[in-house]
Amino acid sequence: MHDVIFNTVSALKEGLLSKKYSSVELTTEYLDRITTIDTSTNSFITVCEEEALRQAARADELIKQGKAGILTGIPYANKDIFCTKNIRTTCGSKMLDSFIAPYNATVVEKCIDAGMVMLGKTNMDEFAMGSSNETSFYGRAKNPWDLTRVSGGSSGGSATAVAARLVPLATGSDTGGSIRQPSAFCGISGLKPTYGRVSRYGMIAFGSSLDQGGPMANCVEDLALLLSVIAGHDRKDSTSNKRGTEDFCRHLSKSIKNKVIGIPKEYFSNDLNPEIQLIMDEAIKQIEKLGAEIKDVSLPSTSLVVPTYYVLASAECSSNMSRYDGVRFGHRCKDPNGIDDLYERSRAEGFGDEVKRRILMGTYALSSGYYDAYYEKAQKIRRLVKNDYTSAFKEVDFLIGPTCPSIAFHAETFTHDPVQMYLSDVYTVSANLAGLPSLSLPAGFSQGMPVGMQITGNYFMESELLSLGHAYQTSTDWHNRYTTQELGR
Amino acid sequence: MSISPKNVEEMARLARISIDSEDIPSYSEQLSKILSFMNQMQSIDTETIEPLAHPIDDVNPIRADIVTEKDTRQNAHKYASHLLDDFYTVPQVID
Repeated sequence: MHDVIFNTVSALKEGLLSKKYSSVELTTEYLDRITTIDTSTNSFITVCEEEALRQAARADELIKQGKAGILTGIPYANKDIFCTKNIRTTCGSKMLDSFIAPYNATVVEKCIDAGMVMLGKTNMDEFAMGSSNETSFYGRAKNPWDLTRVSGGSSGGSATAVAARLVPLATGSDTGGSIRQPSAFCGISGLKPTYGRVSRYGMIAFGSSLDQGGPMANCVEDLALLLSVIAGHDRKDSTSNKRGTEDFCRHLSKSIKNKVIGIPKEYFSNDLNPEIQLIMDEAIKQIEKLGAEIKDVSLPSTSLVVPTYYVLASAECSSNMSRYDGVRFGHRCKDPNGIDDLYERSRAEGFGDEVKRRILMGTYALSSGYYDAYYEKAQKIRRLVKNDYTSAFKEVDFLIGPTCPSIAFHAETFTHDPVQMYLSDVYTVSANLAGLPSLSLPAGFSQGMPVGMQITGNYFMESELLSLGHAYQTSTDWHNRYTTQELGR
Repeated sequence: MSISPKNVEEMARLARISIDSEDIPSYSEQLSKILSFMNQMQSIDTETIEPLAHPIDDVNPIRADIVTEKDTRQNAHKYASHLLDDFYTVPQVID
């Protein structure tokens, strides 16, 4: 039974349908593993054992009745940014330490409807603001490949949980790389779908025009399964796209012959770490061998994407964070001396340093006298970033480059230098600015740490993106590697 | 260009976050560094470019304004720490 953790989700499903084990047994196996291993990785903020076993028993009943769907009885975890009824949702913040949402996020509701089993809520940077999980009120999630290194962020807990095989599938959210960067750092696969593909209802807002939920897993095939469950139009989210969902597994094995792959020259400048360059060269050769054509392209605005992103994300954050006022829910300071003191102290006590920095920065960028120079300027560059992609996709089907400029860094490397931390997002933020789907998957190792490759596609081309990723994983085994570190008690 | 301690106090007031006076210099220093990083944007001319607020061109689909869930007030109230009857309470606002 212990070996099941190395199975793909399809194999787990096969085990459930052939009665090799029940969902309750499978769930118990993973819960036991969390008890032992999560003392090392700190992947979970909340584990919901009782609820999980109840959902598993229900799934077993559905399987018995022959009513199983594609993921019925499969355990998974939700990033703690997705609201869950009756189970607390902290968003990694002291502000929401005791918050229990009165409703489920649409993503959560869809997983329940599919008969999936939620094991718990995963660790994350506070309100998804961070690239290392170090801003979490609950301590950072630790990288299973080297516990002294960061998991990446903000969906760090989902990445470490999947990488340490504490759960086969997890949800994440990606505002500027928060699914892809931790996936790359922890050696797993992660997809940020097209903006509007997955409902944002009940996914706590950070940068509303950038945020997008998506799947994280050990391989692309598993991503396709989870995406098929969570995607789709939602009347409760006015930015949700009307296209609806599709079976993202259907075209998974489609040949990638004659597909044209663009290599943005700005991603392969002389500054790129030589080991990462080498790994990328190998990966691109591999994709060429599979029948794709490689072509050089240019994304001229690349040098400006990080400052542009941080202006827009901070501005949207300052607006979204205004709802935490200590009145209706969330942290409330003791003995306030007047209404202003209630607001100001509740927010000062409830928010951590990075969130406060971004609120102040965003307030500055939006304030009278600075709006044109910062917020509007950033919106104009955002248009240029989108135009760059439009031009590139006239010539190529996909764009490939590294997910991150480095391997996972050591904890506290950038604690006192936010700008250096922000720069680690250089390859990921532009897909959010343009709203495009983008996939990260393991492509090799440097200094014993995983390196991720990022593949970006045109709007709503998730199926094609996944089939390219799947073709790559069918011919390589980077995604099957598992840490040699001793984890747990 | 930098964000002075006075700017920090003003932003903190606008954002309703109290900041200890001893922390203001370090906020000023950090935010100034971030601002000078953001100023890289000024290196290109965007005079003729239209701002882009939203990545997807589709307009927001609006649904009919029909109540889909019954009164959820009691449920929502469960999570407030200070309530009086059916109302949220705050310190006295009007003298």
